[in-house]
Amino acid sequence: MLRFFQLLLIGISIALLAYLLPWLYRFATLSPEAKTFVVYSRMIDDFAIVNHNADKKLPKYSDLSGRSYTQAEFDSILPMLYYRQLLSDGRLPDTLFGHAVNSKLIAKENFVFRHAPAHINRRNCELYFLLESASSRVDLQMPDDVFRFTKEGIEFVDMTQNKVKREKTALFRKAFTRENVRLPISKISGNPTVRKDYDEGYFFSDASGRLFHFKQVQGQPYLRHIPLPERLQIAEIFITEFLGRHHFAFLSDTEGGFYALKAPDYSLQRVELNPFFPQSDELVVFGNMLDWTLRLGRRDSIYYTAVDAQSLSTIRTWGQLRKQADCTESLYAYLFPFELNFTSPKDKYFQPRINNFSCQAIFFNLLLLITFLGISKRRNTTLLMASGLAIACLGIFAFIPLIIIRKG
Amino acid sequence: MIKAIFYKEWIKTRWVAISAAIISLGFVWYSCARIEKAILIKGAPYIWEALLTHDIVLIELLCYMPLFVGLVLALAQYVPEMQQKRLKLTLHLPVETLTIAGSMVLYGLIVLLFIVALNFVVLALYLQKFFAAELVSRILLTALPWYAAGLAAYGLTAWTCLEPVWKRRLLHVFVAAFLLRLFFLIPNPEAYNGSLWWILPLSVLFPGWALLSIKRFKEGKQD
Repeated sequence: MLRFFQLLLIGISIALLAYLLPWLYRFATLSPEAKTFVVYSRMIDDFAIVNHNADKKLPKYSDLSGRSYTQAEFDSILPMLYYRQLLSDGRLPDTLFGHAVNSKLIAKENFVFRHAPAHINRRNCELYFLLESASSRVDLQMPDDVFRFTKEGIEFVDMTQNKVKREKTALFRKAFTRENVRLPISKISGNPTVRKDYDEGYFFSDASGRLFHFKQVQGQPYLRHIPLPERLQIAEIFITEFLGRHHFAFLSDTEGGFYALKAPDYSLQRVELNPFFPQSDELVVFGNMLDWTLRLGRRDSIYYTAVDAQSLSTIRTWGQLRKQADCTESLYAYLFPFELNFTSPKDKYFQPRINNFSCQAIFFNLLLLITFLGISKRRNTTLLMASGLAIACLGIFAFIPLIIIRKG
Repeated sequence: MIKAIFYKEWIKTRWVAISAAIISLGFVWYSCARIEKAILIKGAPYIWEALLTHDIVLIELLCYMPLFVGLVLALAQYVPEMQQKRLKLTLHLPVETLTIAGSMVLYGLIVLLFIVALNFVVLALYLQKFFAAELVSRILLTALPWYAAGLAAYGLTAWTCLEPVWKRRLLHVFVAAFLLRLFFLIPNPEAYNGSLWWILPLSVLFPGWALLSIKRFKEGKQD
């Protein structure tokens, strides 16, 4: 039994060091990074770039071809983004590419959509608020009930009584039966808050992968099946509820396709974008009435795509590698054979994961092994071999606990 | 003999164990009473909305309480053993060292598990009055790693207290602090669900390390 607890102690110590040492190293070598903001400018037909340097000096304005701009010039080439500044300076044009514009219209048509993997890689409680989408009041109101999906169908629970609302449940179940919704639902997206201008309820896909729009209109269920192209399998749904009301939602499919579900006709339009996988990729969309800039963030790189706001076809693309490996990163690769993490910026789960395997660490591991064999007084060859093997594979993570145990 | 050791440990720690149970139940009651008052003042829908739209479980007050219960129980059980050199006497009893040490550790674990179970039963009964089953399970699953931290804290404190060498004891404190930190790395509700299957058994195994310290004590390791 003692041997078991001894091995457990060594194992836990190795795991703890594999977590702590890389963390400590990164913490010690942490330095500010340069940040860039990239957005497509129709005025110059190129990507406009703001560089915030690591040294915190004034930002630099340029475009992809290398031309530099003053701040005022930069405002002018991005009128949809800096319209308030242009309005204040009296420089906001009244037409842009044949479209009459004013600040109100620009504000209405502009939108920002942000997706980070951590938004979906988390555990949500499967109780949902269903707001009244067409109440007689100007402001939206939170309901006094929540709904859930059970084996029998949708079910509304009165929050004050903590009891099922039988009449409302029966009314909404009828709608679900009529539309032949197959439970359990696989994906659902809604934005149950009163801090928005209108409510579109929820978009969900059922067990057979069919897409539905579900909301409450004057106390009655509104449930509409949205036909999808054959073979399209929904990976994720993102309800939008943008001020412009041109779209109901964005969708992604299992093959990396990204789509806009247009309002009011529920037509599906593919956005020309590199494959997007919501579980692992970040996506930011800066949209205006003329074009959208999509920033697709992957582990090592960032892709910028400008698409036309009407056709959603590509205008320009640009890819950029994330942080280049510097000398501290190179040294890191020589010191640690891997690192153990329990958290990740991509999700909200606590789970062990081994990252950053490095073959270069074998040299340091061998050095540690030689040191260990040199100072070891063990006579037991089996133990010595096991310890040696552990140090050769796990490097410094095994070396420290084994040295401490050797000292007794 | 095991019964006698259990009895000896009970005599030694009964007031601390009873106080820990009462204080922890007091914390549980206060957390629930706060929820009840909030529902009374703000209305149930407001509280449900807070639970469903924010990353909170409303019993955050209990977060570090189990950790302190585990720590205090272990200190009460093992500090007198070391300070008054009672452990040496205990280990001279005509029973195998592992049986004696195992019984002491098992006693502490049973007391702690009883307190944890008591807390959970009261919490579940109280919460189900106000919330749907989904919310009750969300709150309890979020609290489970906190209680696992209590069990781990007990084991790691026992391991540290029974260690006969001071330098080594400091190392144990360092290891224990970082291990316990892992139970509180992510504050989001249900973040630990996927890892509970190994966290809970591991927390119950930590007290076994105390046997290693006792072995070193028996071998005559000291400052």
